[in-house]
Formats: sequence, structure tokens, C-alpha cells
Amino acid sequence: MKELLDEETSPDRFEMVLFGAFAALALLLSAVGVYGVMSFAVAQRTHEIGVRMALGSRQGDVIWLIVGSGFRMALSGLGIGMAGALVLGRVMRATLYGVQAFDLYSLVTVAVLLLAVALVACWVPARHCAAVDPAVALRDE
Amino acid sequence: MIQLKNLERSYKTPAGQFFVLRRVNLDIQSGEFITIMGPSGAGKSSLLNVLALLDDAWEGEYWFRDQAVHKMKRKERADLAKKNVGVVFQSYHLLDDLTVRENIDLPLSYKDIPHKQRQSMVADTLDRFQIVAKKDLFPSQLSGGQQQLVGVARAVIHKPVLLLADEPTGNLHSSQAKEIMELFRELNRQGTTIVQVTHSEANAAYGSRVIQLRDGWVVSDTANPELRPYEAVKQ
Repeated sequence: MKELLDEETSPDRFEMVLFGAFAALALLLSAVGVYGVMSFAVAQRTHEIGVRMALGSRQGDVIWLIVGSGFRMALSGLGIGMAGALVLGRVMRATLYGVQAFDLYSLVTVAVLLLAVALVACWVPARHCAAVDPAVALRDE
Repeated sequence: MIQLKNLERSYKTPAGQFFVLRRVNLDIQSGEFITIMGPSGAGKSSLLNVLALLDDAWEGEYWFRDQAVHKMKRKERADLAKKNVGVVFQSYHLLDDLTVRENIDLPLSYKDIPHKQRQSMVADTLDRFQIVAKKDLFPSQLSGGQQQLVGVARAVIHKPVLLLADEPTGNLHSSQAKEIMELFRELNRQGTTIVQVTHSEANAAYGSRVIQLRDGWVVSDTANPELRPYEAVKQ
């Protein structure tokens, strides 16, 4: 009986495993993408950081400024992503089993992960830029 | 006001250590208007960056109003610069996404000054530099001369005792350059010590003292005619 059941559900299970693997890959790619975009955006602000440091900004001020604006950008992206996930969840409702279209746990986990990635992606290069001599940062135009 | 003793600045290159400032000894008195001149690569901007405390990686002694800068940590140096130094750059270095008013306010925003007082100081400065009508414009909407005017306004809004200018008229038309230099002369008359880097003899004429650099060495100083000749110093 078990063998028969396994045989019968095998294509569905395979589909689900494949689906889960692609979802994990998509999440990983999102994290890498967010990190790349954020750190590039911060690197683009090296000159601004140099100007601010030359005018009296402390390292901490600069880091918070960069992380704050990156956080706001990440929140906007997350908002759009969440809306998209809710719409797609409704569309895919028929294929879901044992999980709701609006699964709070999954959404919160993904949101926290991507926000954390965004924050680290801002904080690491911002800290690096703020540690550079303003004279060096000012040459970066 | 400032004493530099055997100050040196070098960079590590694949070919070895490359010195941009060599054994610089300099006394700057309060109220002076000094011009630093020399060919490209002589170390003029490097010296200015050291004086402005924008560069930490030098060796030697640097005294600012009897305070040993060479013994200070980076944060202390930054605080000292914030209180006492204003810098004007050749390429203005205004922030493109801030208006004229916001750019001028920037140095004040890093000080513990109440918002209302800041607004009043910015309004006074806009008025003093006759750029009230430009206050809501962005740097890209201004001419080079106007941008530099904003750069000078930003540098002096917190009333620094030392104003440093790195080729402040390098990108300007001669009439705009004259306007900026007249402004410097007026600031100097009001008591601000000024050190400018320039290639222009005309700009140097606004100052009271000229220091010549070559290959990182101070080779002449009109305030110190007894300075040993370059070749002798270099030994």
C-alpha cells in the first residue's frame, strides 16, 4: 500500500522538492543581489563621505547616515516584494499543501533575512569609507 | 598659531617609499595670509591636507595653538579641525543633492548648535555673500564662480580661525577669481588666518608671505630669507 502511495505521489513530491530548491536559490540570489546593489550604492557615495568628514562629520554620523538611507531603500524594496509575494501566493494557492498562501512565518523570515543582508551590505562599505582619510575620499569623484 | 617640526609624509609604492613632504619646518602666525607655491607634484596639496587635518598618515610634530596634534587620536584631531579650520577646494566639493542653503548648513549640522541658531547663521551668511536668491538652487544650477562662493561661505560659516584654500580659483574665470581673492583679503582683514595653494602670481600677491615647495621640500619662504638653499637642505 505504501509503495503504491509513494509511486502515486512521486511526481508531486518531486515537483515540490524542485519548487523548494528553486525558491531557496531565488532567496540566495536575492540576498546576493541586495548585497551587491547596496554596497555599490554606498561605494558611489565615497566622495560625499569624504566631504562630510572634511566638514566635521564623525565616523559614526556617516555610518548611520549611510545605513539609515540604505535601510529605507531596503524597506521600500521589501514592501514591493511582499505585495508581489501576496499576489503570487493567491495565484499559486491551488498548488500549496500544508501552508497558507499568506504564510506569516515565511514572509517574516525572508523579510528579516533580506533586511539583515541589506544592513550588512551598507554597514561594511560605509565603515570602510568612513575609516579612509577624508583627503583620500575626496579624490574619489 | 601653527608649528610644523620635521614633518614628513610618504606613500609606500612598489618601488619603495615615496616622500611627498620632507622635513618641513614651518611657523604660521595668527593673522597671516600665506601662499604656498611650487610645480605640480611639489607637495603643496599634501601640505594643505596635513594642515587641514584631513590626512593622518604623516610623521613629525604638528602644534596647533600650543596643542600637540601629533599626539592626538584621530577623533581629537577631527574635533580640533571642526572647531578651528575651514577648507575651500578647487573643485568646490559641494553636495549635488543638497541646495545652497543645505550645503552651507552642513558644517553646522555636525556641531551642537540649536536648529534656530543654525538657521539664523545660514541666513546671515547667505546675506553676507549676497547669495540669498540662490538659496534654494542646487549646485548644478550655479556657475563655477557662484559654486565657489558657496564653497567659501560653507568654509567660513562656523568662523574658523584658519582658512585653507587649495587652488580656490583654479577652475574660475579671472573676474570670478578676483572676486574670490578680494573676499579672502577681507576675511584676512577681519582676522582669519589664510593659507592658500596657488599657481597664480596674481593670487599670491593678495597674501603677505610666499612659501615655495619643490619635491616635498620647503625651498624658500619670504618670512625666512635665511632658509638654507634647496640643494643644501636636501643633503
